[in-house]
Amino acid sequence: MCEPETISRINNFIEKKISGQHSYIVHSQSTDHRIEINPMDLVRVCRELKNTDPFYFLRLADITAVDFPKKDKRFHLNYVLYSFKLNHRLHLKLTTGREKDLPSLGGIWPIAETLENEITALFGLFFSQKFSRKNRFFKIKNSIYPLRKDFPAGARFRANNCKYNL
Amino acid sequence: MKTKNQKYSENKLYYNPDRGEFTSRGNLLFEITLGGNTITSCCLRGGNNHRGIEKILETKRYNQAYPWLVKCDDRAGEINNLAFSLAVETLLDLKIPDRVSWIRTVISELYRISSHFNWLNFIAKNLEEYFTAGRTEKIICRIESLLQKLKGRRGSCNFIRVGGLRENISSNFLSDCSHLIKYCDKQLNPIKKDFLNSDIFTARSRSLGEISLEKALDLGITGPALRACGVEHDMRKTDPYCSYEELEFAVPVGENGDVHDRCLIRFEEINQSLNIMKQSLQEISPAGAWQENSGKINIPSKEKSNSSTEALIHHYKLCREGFKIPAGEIYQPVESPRGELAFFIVAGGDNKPHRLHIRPPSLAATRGAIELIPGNTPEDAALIVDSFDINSGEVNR
Repeated sequence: MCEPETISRINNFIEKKISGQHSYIVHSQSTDHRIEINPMDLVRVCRELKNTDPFYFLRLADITAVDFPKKDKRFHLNYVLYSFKLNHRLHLKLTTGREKDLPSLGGIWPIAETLENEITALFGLFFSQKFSRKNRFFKIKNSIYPLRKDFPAGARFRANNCKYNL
Repeated sequence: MKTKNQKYSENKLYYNPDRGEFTSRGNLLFEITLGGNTITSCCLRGGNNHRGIEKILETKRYNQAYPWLVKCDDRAGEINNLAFSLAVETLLDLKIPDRVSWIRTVISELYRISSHFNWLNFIAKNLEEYFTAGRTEKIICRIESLLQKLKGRRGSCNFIRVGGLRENISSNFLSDCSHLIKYCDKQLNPIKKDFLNSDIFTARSRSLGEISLEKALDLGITGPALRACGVEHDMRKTDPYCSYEELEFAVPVGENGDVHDRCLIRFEEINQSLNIMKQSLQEISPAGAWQENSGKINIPSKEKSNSSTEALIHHYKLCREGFKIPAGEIYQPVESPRGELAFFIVAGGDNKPHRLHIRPPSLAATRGAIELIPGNTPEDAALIVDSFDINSGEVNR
């Protein structure tokens, strides 16, 4: 699935779109095409990838968060985009130590709001969408984020008013 | 008059797409607000079925993960195991015997058929078509009894493992599968004639719950619901795994993206799955390899561990520590009966995953259903939700 020509075209396209000061790292593994991207460039690059010929990455498949507590930039966010035209899956990786004001893709793909809500509830990462208490995925007590590594696996807590806001 | 402590207000309804199964019972409630007889807004009340599977799997070894993965999906749990096994095998760079790939194809199609017939049973009961519901229940019983012969119990299962299968298939499995295919083939036409082509179903489902292609893509919808909008996208064709590359089958596609198209596509997929099973059964030999040969991933057989010291040591190590995976990341998608199911595994070089994320197809489908429900009556809303085939075990995890 990851053809070298497709990978190089996408890399060249993204290289022109990012801001000049920040570089990116390309992980061209045999199975996945991964690009590490700066949080400031994420929304712009995703919008261009969605709307530009011949790429048309029309689908946001998934957003995943991973916690590495021993690293400086603790949280790694993995965005998976899919292009029907190229039959190609692209992973945009974002590393950050910040927990608030992260870039949100809700203006480009509405499903991103749902996935970001889930990450907010489970990891405590707040995205810059119009966020309020009502929009939480679960309503959990403050500062209890179960999927972080400092939260013990055997602990119990009560999730009050489990009203999903998808 | 509404008081402060009143739990349910007068103009709110709660719809629970409950099939009475162990992962879906009472765990996904659509809270519908009515204005007269039409729905003005809808949201989801859930989380009762949240078992913390992703967190728990960070504390379990890779070879202990199977029972947890199966809990995400009550009718096609083996496909979760398949996706997990494919992801781990790619990280380990393992080569699987061809016979195992063919058997995995047959088993995943069997679960796809079971899941679709289960959905058909549920939607027929909701529309009070009990004749069709009775027919589908007979078929489901036959599939379950075949799976019981294969793995020893009904319901959740544990047959596909990393490196191969749990054990070799029995000598009767292939003939039982071909009998089941003949039986299902005979039942499909009467069901289509009595239920799907009937005036009642067509009148209720045509132009109901129409979703445009752009909206479906924006909401991340996959599977039959996306194919109903006109996109011929199936993971088995675009990103083939197991033995799907060598098989010939069609991908049914709709036009309007309404409830009628979604239902017809699922029904046609049953037909295609039976076709796939017929082709795959010819490629499976009754005897042969059923797991990879190194002995370091799966527990070796009794004969080997009794006769060889090395096999005995591997047996002890696998039971005590499991196997380790070198550091890396993988995103493995497969085609489940509801859409694109994917596993994202971050391996830290240990015998336990650092992060294991399941991308459920039902989450996007739930979002799609919530967008479509306002403006309809409660009965039509129930039909729209059922047409997406939502599994609460996947949404809540």
